[in-house]
Amino acid sequence: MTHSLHRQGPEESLKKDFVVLAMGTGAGAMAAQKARLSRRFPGLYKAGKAVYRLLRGLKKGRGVHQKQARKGPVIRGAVVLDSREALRDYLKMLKEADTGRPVVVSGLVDEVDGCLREIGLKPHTVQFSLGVFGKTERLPAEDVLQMTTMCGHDMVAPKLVEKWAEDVRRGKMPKEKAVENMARLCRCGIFNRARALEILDRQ
Amino acid sequence: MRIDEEKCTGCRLCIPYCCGGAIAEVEGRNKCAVDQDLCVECYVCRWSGCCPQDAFEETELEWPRSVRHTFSAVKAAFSDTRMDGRGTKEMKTNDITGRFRLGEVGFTVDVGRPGVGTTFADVEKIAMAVAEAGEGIEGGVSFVEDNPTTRLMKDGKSGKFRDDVRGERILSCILEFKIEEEGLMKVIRALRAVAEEVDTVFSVGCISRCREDGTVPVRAMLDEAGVFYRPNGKVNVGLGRPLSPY
Repeated sequence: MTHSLHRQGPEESLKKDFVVLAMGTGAGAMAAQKARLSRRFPGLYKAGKAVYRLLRGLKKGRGVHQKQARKGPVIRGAVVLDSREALRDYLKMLKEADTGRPVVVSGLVDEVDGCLREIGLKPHTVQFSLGVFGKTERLPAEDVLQMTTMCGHDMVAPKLVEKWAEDVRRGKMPKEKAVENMARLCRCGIFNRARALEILDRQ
Repeated sequence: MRIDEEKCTGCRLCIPYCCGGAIAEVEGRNKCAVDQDLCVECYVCRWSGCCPQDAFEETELEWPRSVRHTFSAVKAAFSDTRMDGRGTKEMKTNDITGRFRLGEVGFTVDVGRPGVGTTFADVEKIAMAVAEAGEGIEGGVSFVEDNPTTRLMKDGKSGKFRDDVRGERILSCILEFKIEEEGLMKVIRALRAVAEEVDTVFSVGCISRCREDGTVPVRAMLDEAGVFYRPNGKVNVGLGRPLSPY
């Protein structure tokens, strides 16, 4: 679902960019997971058909953003958070919910580690990005990559980012509209709108 | 994907939407067309609604062209793994699966990413290079079976791909494999070398199961070898149950 490992940008900018992904589980663990979730959240599964629902009426399938995430933990799907504090609070909520789902956080590794330890958790497995190899001269400019890599599946084309950024600079399009346009193309919903606005502000 | 010439007015609004750079104006005709060699069948042009005339039409994708869609669209499921095209669970479920254990290093190589695209011919070059790097290490390089890219290989060891898919162009795919820790630098050196031989880019991820105290063995090894890694990464926080005993 997500290639959120390779999000690019300076550390200051990445301090406002955390993606929390609650995973589905493989077939082998499915029965045990289902039983556990049914005990924890009665009504989550209806008439024997597995219906993945997010708590308190949130819809499935798209990334959930900070304001909504305060309502409750997501059982399956992605949440985009804009600060370390929000991450810590959300992870605490997930820990207490004890859904049994694997949870992965993309973001500054040391910040994530610090949050986990503050709430009595520790990393289980870590993945580092060693960067981009090969014909890097074919890549677009760094500020464009900061935008395009926020869509895990590369659905936001570099030329489009360049065009909309130019439209914003010329006053032909509000920056909020440009960011919404980009976010709409990211079907997993992990495009960080708040960070994108800041990137446009810096250009 | 193709453009219905009858409907196209040549407005060119669609051109920057194309992830593969496959849409261009047809010279002198005031129409746009899709270059079928460059098109990765991601369907962004169609579902984005960028065409005011709704001129984009999906074409029937037969094998092997169908792998373009599987490895480029977001919600296309790969029949063997039943996961969305490029998707793989790699370390994301490691607390349940134990796929990567202490003493091992996992790698993900996103070929074509970010945003350049690739063919399986280049994917094969990279896969064969890392397979060769694993020679002499106990167990060698082991490509993860539950991964759509591995399923297109002739076998899980040599890194060779099926002849019929080699020429297909896709947005990206993920080579996923693991090796004993002692092979870490051999693989990284092989990736650096093959980077000179491919006509694309690839993004490399390096996976390590943490020790009991939460420290990351591979981090010290990368530091000692002076290998660059970004400050941001992915962390499995260990909330999956049942917890892997590994």
